[in-house]
Amino acid sequence: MTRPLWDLVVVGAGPAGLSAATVAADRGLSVLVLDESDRPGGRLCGQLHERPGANRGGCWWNGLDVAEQLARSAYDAKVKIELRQAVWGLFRERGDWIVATRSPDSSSSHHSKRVLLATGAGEDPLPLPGWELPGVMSVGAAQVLANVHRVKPGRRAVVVGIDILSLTIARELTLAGVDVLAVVLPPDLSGQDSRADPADVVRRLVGLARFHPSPVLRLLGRAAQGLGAGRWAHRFYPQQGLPAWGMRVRARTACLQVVGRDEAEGVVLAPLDRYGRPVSHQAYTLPVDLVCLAGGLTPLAELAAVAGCRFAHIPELGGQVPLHGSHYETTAERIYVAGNITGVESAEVALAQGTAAGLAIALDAEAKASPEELVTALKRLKRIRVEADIHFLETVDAGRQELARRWEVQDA
Amino acid sequence: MSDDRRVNRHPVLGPLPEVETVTFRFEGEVLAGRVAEPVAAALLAHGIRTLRYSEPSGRPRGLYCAIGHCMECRMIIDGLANVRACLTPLRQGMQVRRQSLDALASDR
Amino acid sequence: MRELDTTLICRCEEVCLADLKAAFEQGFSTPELAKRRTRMMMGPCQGRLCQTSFQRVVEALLGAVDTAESGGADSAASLPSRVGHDIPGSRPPVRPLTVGQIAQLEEFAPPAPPEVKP
Repeated sequence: MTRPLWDLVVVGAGPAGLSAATVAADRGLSVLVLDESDRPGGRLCGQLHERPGANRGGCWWNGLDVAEQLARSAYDAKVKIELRQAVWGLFRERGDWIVATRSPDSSSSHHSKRVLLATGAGEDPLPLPGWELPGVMSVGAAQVLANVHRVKPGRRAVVVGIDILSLTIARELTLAGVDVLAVVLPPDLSGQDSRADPADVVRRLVGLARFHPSPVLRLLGRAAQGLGAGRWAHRFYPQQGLPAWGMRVRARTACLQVVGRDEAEGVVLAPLDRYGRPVSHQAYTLPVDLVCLAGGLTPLAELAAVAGCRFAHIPELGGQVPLHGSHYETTAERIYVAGNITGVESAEVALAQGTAAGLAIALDAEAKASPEELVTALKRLKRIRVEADIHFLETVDAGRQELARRWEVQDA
Repeated sequence: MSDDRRVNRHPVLGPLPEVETVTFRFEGEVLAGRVAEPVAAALLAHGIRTLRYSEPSGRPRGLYCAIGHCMECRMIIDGLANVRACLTPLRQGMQVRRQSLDALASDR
Repeated sequence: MRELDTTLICRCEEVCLADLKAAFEQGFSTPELAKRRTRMMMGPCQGRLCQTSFQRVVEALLGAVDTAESGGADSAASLPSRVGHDIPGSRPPVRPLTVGQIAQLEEFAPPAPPEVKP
């Protein structure tokens, strides 16, 4: 039995994977997209935030709608999408790749000339005492439950971890009817965790607020800016927190522990002193039934490791990223990467990156694409990076430059 | 389902879309859920958060990542162990049990 | 804060922060050795949940040195870190598989035995 040899297999049906697949198929490549979930869209599903100008006429970024449009374009371009297919391995066979997958009840393999890894990013865990109790979950899990599956993950919640993602999702939870009491800092487990350092967190909020068109976040940023821009700005951050969307963002309070006998029943909160240390004798318990942990995002690159790609550790991009060149090619032959696997950025950036990667792959495959088109797509990507609604890391540009430098060095 | 854990109305996403209701068994009890929603979501809609008991300590565990990475929601579904409840679509007549060393042993 | 030591950093194998610190104190003081000593990252999630926590704690214990070269070249099973040792990475299968699912794949079926002539 001879099986089809695909021109391109894409792992991940998120914004990067679907847009790359559509472009590559448009240019004549045979393309198969595999995804572990049972709906296309990846982490687009569940995203919900106000776009610039939302206060003047109401305009929301609804990830579910964007995902649906993307999937439709992909199907129109004759892309084959197989869902509930988890890729568990990549193996070389005579210059081609075998992509090994499993579905809930069977396993199969697909042969392809090229593989694009668009596996996105995963959430960094945020361990703290009691985080294993039922009722404690990642902030992304709460988002999916509330916005996709339409179940309230809890009634009274505290969100631990202060960053753009946690603030955005905390707000989404309030829209779903969850009472979000506060957004607070985590404890410092390793003794050098910047996620637990009020000075770092306040500095990042101030830095990021200027990008953010969302009116309330800008307000928060301006309030924080009023504190001064210096290293000690957090000392002037009000102990009771700053208000945002009816929640309190408390960058001078840490959650020390989740308490509960068999499930989460409350959190122990403590104010932080001027050095960022918890004032234990002022700690108190706040009853909640939901604790959302927001540790930040990190590229999900395990398949790149399995394929033998070389990596670089670049904290500005969210951690370990596969080295890659301007055509999104990695150090493993005919393995490409696009989207958040290359560094944590917003869905809009991932979409544009996918388009560029699809064109680059079509060029490499000598399909009908021109180098000029790729240049245009890369220019557009650059513009979208600047204009995107959401910026996760303030240092992405520096990280991208460092990655490009590492690529040059290893090439030499 | 009139349970207040459902997001029946949402200011941006609108009313909860109508889908078929199915029934399933959780630890012997008959419960209702929305067809094809993840088993973990259907259970949560009934306030059920403990999905298994950990092997080393027997302590309760629940859903954590909801995207199939953490394996914390592994349950015994239709007699099969280690099934991730966050990725498994609910079907009519499903048999769902909390996974634990005892539950695994009683299956033998 | 002492209570932080009871934090589970590996939820599958129930390894707490104190266990990992103890492993380092007992001389299992590279990422690979500490992993094998504690069984951290060796449970059902295979490190998908705890790998970055492991890296953070290990970096704190060893003191991060700026040696973040692009490693992971020869072995898919390790990734570069800032502590002078690679940290354990991924190897297939990166998703749980049943033995039956592996057996279904013709690529991994054993070759037919050679015909033996009498």
